[in-house]
Amino acid sequence: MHSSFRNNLWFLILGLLSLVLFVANLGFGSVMLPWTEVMKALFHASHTDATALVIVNQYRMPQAITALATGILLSMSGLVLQTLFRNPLAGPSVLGISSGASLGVALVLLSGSVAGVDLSSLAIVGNLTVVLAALAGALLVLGIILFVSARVANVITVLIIGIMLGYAVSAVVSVLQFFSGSEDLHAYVLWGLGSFSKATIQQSFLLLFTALSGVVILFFYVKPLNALLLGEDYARSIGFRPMRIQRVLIFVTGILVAVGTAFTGPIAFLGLAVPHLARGLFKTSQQGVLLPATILTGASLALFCNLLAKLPGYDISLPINAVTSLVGAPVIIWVIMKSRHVKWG
Amino acid sequence: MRKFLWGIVTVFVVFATGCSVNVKPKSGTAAMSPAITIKYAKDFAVFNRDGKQEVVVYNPWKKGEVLAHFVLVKSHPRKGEIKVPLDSVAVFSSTQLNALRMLGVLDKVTGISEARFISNPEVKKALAAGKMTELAAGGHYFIERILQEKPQAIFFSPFQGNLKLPRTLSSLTAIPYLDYTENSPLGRAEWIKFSALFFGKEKVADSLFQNIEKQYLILKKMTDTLSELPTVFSDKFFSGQWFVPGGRSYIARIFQDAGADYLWRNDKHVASFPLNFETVFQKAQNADYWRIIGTFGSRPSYREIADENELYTHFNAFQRHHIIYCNPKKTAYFERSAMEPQWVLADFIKAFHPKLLPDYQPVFYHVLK
Repeated sequence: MHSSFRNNLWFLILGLLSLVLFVANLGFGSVMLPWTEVMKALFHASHTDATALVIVNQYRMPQAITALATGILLSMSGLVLQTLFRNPLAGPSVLGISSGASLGVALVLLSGSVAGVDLSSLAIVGNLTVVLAALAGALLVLGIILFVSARVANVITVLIIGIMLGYAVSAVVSVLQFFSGSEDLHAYVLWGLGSFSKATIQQSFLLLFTALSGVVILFFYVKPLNALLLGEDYARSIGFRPMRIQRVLIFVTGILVAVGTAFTGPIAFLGLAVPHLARGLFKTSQQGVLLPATILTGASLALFCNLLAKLPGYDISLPINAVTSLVGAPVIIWVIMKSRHVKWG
Repeated sequence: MRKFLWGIVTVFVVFATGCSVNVKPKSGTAAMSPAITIKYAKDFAVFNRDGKQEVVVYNPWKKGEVLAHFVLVKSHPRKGEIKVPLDSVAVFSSTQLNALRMLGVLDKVTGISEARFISNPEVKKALAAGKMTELAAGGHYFIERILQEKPQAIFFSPFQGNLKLPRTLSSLTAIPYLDYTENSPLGRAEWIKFSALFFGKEKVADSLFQNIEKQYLILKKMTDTLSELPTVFSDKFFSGQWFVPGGRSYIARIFQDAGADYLWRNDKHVASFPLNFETVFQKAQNADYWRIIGTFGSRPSYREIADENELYTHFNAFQRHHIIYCNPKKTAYFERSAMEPQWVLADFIKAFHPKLLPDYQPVFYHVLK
């Protein structure tokens, strides 16, 4: 009873925190807008300053929604994969899916200098070309993973193959980088640093829709995930088919990560760190609690990192990947130290 | 073990670079006087010493430091001296290739780099005929092929943090070519005088440069008395950053000379620097013109630019169809512009003040319709 009260309190705090951070993301940026202007812009009031209108609605809004959606989908994918592989170091990057996205983008941005064929100048629209390439690369790797997972009985084998595939794909990207000109390389490096401000408002809503669909689907898998935590044999004994569940969940998280990475570039650390943070806060391994906990924590942390990366008041902004790692790493260390203390002390 | 090896490598690198940059220009001696006048370029100088030409290249990233120096003689070279004219060289900068073409000495070039980017028909022909070989690509030198070809000198473009050719090529004469670090358009073009020294073409270079200078200054003068200067900003937003050319950059200078008010003219950077979208938008939203260089499919249009990022449509310059665009592939901009600053300037004058050059046909940049 006590713990459920504590959990509910945390849910409330995290929910409010996400909301506050979301609003803060709309209110703060390089250009200091008075709150009245921000509000007027949000509600399209008459006599709104044209600059504020564009900055708030067209730039900060899609960025905040993208941060929110990415935070949710990466974190919950991380949680599911950690449970599935029973490995605390699993995360969205382990299956090689984000590496696949990188390969797709590298092919588009770097092919010009390597093969002399510039895919980025093909008739397809610039921005969308990169998104589609990332998606294609990610789905290709996901396809291979699913193909393999249907043929091996052990889920750990799938994990290892995913990691190996990631290495192989990264190697191809390195070769492409090695042979490309500095301009193209710069474009690719910038993409690899990740950014929540690449998506348009429509794309950010698409991302949010994907994330929320993922939430709905994954809630149906809470029970099987709980069962899998206790071992495949146990899951089988109470009527689940572990192989099938694993394949479906790899597919679902794979799609989530692929779509997320396509619009933001690879975002480091969130998917790995947030489930641990949620476990530390809620002190449970119950997937029914952890899933919503991870979603809210992920949303808050992504919005918080984006706010930091914007460096409100300054003319420059930091790459989001640097911030997620800098914020994520100490969080993980803190959680681990704390839980150790509880255990041993 | 690995750490130890890295240590050795580091020591070597420090040693190697340290040696080269410690050579001080031997200035102040009575026998030394400037041999040719350099009016705009700041990173090289030529002196006369005992009837020999001494060429000094300065380190553009460290004021007052000499990157390399060479003694050029017409006959009987002593150790360390270079006998000119050279007749087989490798040239790794496409802008220098263009300068050598203008000097009429392309036939002395036996090796080049980045063959796939070359659009110069004469170079392409020489490559196909086997008179030139590709000796570097993607920033990497084909060491064995270079050692086999053994050009008398290699003209290469150092960049910050990598000022030298690989050690394995230390048996060859390496000559840094640094036109791209010059921020003044005429200074960049003046490097043709540097190239000419090695081929005995000083006179040709002088008259070619004088011509460029004359045309440039005439064009610049047209804008001197203008009272209304349109505002301009540059480049695009990519992956969360907007790289804006610094106020002391090459393009900032061109904007100024073309009679425009560059929004970041008071900035102190010489190269581009990243800014947040909001900052750029607030400042540039109402600017009159917007300069973009890059590739947008086969036929760039406002539609394609809007498709790339919807935010672009909120700029005044976009709405007024005032984007000044250059397709570097079609115009061979990166190869040609260094030696043709007068046409870059004319393109911008035509864009900012169409009445001043009514019949002029743009070479590199045009206002996108």
